[in-house]
Amino acid sequence: MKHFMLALLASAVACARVQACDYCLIGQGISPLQTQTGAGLRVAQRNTLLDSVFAGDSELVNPGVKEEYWTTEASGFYNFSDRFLVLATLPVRKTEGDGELAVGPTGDPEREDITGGTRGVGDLSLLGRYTFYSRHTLDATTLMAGVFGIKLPTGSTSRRGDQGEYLDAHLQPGTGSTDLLLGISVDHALGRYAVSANLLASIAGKGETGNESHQFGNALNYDATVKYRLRPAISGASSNAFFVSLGVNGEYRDKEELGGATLPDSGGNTVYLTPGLQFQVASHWIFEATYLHAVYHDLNGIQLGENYKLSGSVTYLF
Amino acid sequence: MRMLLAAALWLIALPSLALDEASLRTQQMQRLEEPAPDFVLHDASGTGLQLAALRGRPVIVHFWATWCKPCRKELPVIQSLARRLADTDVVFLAVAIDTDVGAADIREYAASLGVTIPVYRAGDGRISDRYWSRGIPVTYLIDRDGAIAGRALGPRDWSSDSMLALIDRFLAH
Repeated sequence: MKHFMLALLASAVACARVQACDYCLIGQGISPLQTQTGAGLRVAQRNTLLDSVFAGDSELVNPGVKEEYWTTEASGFYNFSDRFLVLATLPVRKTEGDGELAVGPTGDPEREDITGGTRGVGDLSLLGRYTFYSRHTLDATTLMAGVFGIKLPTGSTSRRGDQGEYLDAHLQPGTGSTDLLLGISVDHALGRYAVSANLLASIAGKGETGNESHQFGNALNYDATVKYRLRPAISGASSNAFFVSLGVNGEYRDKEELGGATLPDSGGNTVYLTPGLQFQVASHWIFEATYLHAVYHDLNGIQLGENYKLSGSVTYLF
Repeated sequence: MRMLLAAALWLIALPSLALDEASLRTQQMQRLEEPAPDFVLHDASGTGLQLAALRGRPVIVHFWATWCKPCRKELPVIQSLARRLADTDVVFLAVAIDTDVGAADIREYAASLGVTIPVYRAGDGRISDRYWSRGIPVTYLIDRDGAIAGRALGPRDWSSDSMLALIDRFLAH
């Protein structure tokens, strides 16, 4: 609870196992949820490499374990009005695990020789966003919106590794659970600046990995991003526009349960500092690139964590 | 009793006359939470025009620039709207925000597009750049009380039936 409150207050949380949360980044950084009109399609690519070991906020020596995730995410969104937007996101995940982290008798991290990976369609997320407050002045616009949705267990959770064993839950394409998503979003535009802040909570349902019940912990994703229009100085002067952004974001996640038992080495916080670039070309195309640099980890027990994530996307607005 | 009935009818009719949020949303326009800042603009002869002096009449102010491609398309449509509303008391103002183009060249450019509504250069007067800080083209509907009843950020089709219906409501208010 203390961590939860800190996360809220600091607008900064963490992500011990973000790979299982493909919808998490929807509300972070430069987002299609910021569009107010029309419809669009978006394809995003993310890469996450977990090759550091953490105990709490301390980094330990990695005994040679790493996990890597590539997520290609297709999203479609449609604004029924300037107040109501719906969005559907379907990821395709490729995962690769090289060793599994274990805790030895001395309490130090050790490597278990379990390897393998898979590729497959992940969990479908459906989201709605309703703008319940809008205030416009000559030079500023403020919007507040509620976000609600559901993540469906469309991805497989029974893929096996090189040794024939079921892959770890984090390496499976899906989570196996139906999760509820609830969030709030605030956007404020002033001249060439736009500030957005988002909180997105996911209430995890029970799923199954292989032949065991598994439940990811509830999560709270948060984001605060400032975007600045470099060109043109006056919006509308050109059909092309170039933005830079800087955000603080992350995820707090509760511990997981496997076979009814709570996993002590799961859940926690990771905070990222996220610079980004955005090009809008000819009013229809949006190209984005963001780099999420992990600046703080506070993971429960002993866990693998990532140092950075890379994300790029192309959006077409109809 | 007759007065009560009249008041009730007035209350029922009011939403259909005012530029309500639903009407504005159909055109992706916004009502602003502040009155239109006063300004003074000068025409070719140097004669000043003050917004405050137009109180009591609806005003449509369109901000544009010679380098703005969407403006080139929208200006003639604004002109057509002005022609259509010639027998009303609405005042049209086209304000160019160019800083490196002279007033004469701006008027010549507007004339080449068939624009006959009054064209002003923002730099030739006293007007806050807050009017176009969110971008151009931008058009303001300023009501008879000096309030900004609607703002259209970006180009619009001012000849569409739905937009003309909205303008009718604006003028009737």
